[in-house]
Amino acid sequence: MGVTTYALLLAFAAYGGFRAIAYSDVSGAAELAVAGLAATLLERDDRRMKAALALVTAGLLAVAAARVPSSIPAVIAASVLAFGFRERTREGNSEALREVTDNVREAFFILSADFSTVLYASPAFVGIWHRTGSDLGSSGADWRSTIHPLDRARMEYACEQAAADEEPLDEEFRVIRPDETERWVWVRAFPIRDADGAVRRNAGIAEDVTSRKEAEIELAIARDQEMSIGARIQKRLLLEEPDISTPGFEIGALSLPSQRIDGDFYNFFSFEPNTVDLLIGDVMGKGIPAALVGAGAKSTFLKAKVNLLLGSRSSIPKPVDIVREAHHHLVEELIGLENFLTLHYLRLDGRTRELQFVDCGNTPLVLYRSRTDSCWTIKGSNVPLGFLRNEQYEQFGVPLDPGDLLLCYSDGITEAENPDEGPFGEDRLLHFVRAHHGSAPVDLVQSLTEVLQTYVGGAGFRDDVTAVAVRVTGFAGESAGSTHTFAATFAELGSLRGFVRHEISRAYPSLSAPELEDSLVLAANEIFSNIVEHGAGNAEGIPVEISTRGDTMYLQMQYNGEEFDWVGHRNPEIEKMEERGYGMYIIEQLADSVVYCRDQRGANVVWLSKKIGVPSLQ
Amino acid sequence: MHVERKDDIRILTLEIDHLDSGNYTAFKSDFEELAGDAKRVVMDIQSLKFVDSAGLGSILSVLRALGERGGSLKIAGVTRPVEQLFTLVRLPRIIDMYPTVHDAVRAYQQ
Repeated sequence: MGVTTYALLLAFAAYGGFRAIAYSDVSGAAELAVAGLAATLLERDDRRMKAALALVTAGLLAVAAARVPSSIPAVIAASVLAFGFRERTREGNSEALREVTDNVREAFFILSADFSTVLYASPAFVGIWHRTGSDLGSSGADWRSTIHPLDRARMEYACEQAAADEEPLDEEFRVIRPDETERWVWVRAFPIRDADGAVRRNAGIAEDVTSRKEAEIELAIARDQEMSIGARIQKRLLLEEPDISTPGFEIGALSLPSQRIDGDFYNFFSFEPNTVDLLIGDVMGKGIPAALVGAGAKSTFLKAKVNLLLGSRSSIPKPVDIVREAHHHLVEELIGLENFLTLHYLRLDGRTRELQFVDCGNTPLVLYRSRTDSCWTIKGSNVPLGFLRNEQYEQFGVPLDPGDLLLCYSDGITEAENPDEGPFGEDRLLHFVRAHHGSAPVDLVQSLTEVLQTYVGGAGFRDDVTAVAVRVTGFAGESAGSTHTFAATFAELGSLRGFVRHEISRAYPSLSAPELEDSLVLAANEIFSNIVEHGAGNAEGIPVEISTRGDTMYLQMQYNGEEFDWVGHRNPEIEKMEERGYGMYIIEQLADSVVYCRDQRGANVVWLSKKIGVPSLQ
Repeated sequence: MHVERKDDIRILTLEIDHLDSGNYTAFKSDFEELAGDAKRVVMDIQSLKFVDSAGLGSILSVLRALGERGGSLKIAGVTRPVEQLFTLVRLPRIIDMYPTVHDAVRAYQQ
């Protein structure tokens, strides 16, 4: 009721009063009574104003009655009319409320404090439940019996919790209509408290959300279908059974998809009977897009191999050439898709027991070495495919011995999460590999996935878990190589150089390439000097091993000390006469590859490889 | 290392067969002592069959010291394995090299 209405009624009452008092006008007294009573009786929160109005009206009426005794019956009749006006107004309010409740989609309701009984339900309930509020309230049965059996227990629990905690209820559930059809309902109810703060009942609204729920369910089904398609793509296009018939190696491979496919892939390929090429990769992102990029990358590598093979006609293409060719074809596509992939391209030569590999930002390789019963990680230095247009991928070489075991894995393994223990991590993986190095690779990867499943518990894997294990077969004593341990002092450099020259002439007696020999001697000298300078705890000496694998010579030095970056050094500027920093540059320039790896106990190994060009006698 | 004088040119002849992390400090002090205050120096390294990065650094060190007092250095008698290293690090860009001491001295005199 607005202030303007009050003012009008007051003016009307004053005019009536004036006429009754001044002219003894009976109808004026009646008008005064009607207007004054209406104004005082109307709904209004301001009690002081109502009290003031009542006093003024009563005063005017008393004076009017004294002046016009004959007006008393008219005043009584007018008062009755005024009460009637108020009642009509109240009815008008109820009407307005009814119009609101009849025309909004949400149904209003009031429930008992324990949620079991419907105390009031607006007509919109009928539209949802196809039952009236009184049906629900008067049936005697709990209204929750109309809830779908699959949702009922959950709803009853939610009601119990809300009642116990005196908290709002916010739930979605299905109701069964009398004709057995189902509707999804979203209910929100809020506790209504009395003056003491106790919950007396719950008021709330219910909304029919069937359309939205059906759309959500359709979306979920579509997602399930996407997952199923992704899983099929991964199984058929990205993964395959390894060719385990390659002489010199046993291979096991396994991939467990996560809740969403994330594009792990691997591929085995044999150019000739004694070698197997392994491509193992992981595409950024998840779902069908990642699986498709993985499938595309895999086929690009296959095309690169075929192109290079057709182009050379004489020898099989080197791993680094295959990666460079594939990179050339993939990089623009990947940059355009704002995607990238990490991978390892490995070539395992069963005849020479040699590993050649190109790393493209992938997880480190794990190498178990049988001779030292130790586990090492070999970190790469190249960036993922799709990062840089002009990346120059480099190839690295490592000699293998019988009993050695190599594990390539996706980061889904080291990042597998236990709620209490955190990620599985590299250390646990190295321990696992060292403990299981004697298992057949197929059993090893199987055990690894079982260990991981136990580790993550019911949470499942967030990323695909992919592992490929390769074991070098043969007898442990078969490896050819010479080892000599040198004291960790610069005074030993001369002896070291003599040892290297001697081993070269022993392995390649007919070699007539003094520059090649000088290169190896200088590179070995630089590595040893670096170890003497930066290593620590090498009182027992530094074992230096020289071995040959086919036409490649490998020089290995093992030492203790801090982790050291053996690759990626710039050439010092000779024009500025910088006196230091040439050693690492010289090593990189003279060696075909330098591979550095480290074990869990702080021991380090550096391998230098140099292609001699002719097969060794060993 | 021994020294000869020819006019104002000082000729230092190395008598070691390697210059590496083990002996480069001795080389530097011998060089500085025998070169003295000479402005024109020829270093005969015919005996050297091996130089490593530390040895290279010491040659750059004596070259820098000479340059700072207005002197210069020419190298004579570079053997094949040593030449391989010098070429790799592009040393000929900053030091003149000659097959023999005679050639180096003549270059100073012309």
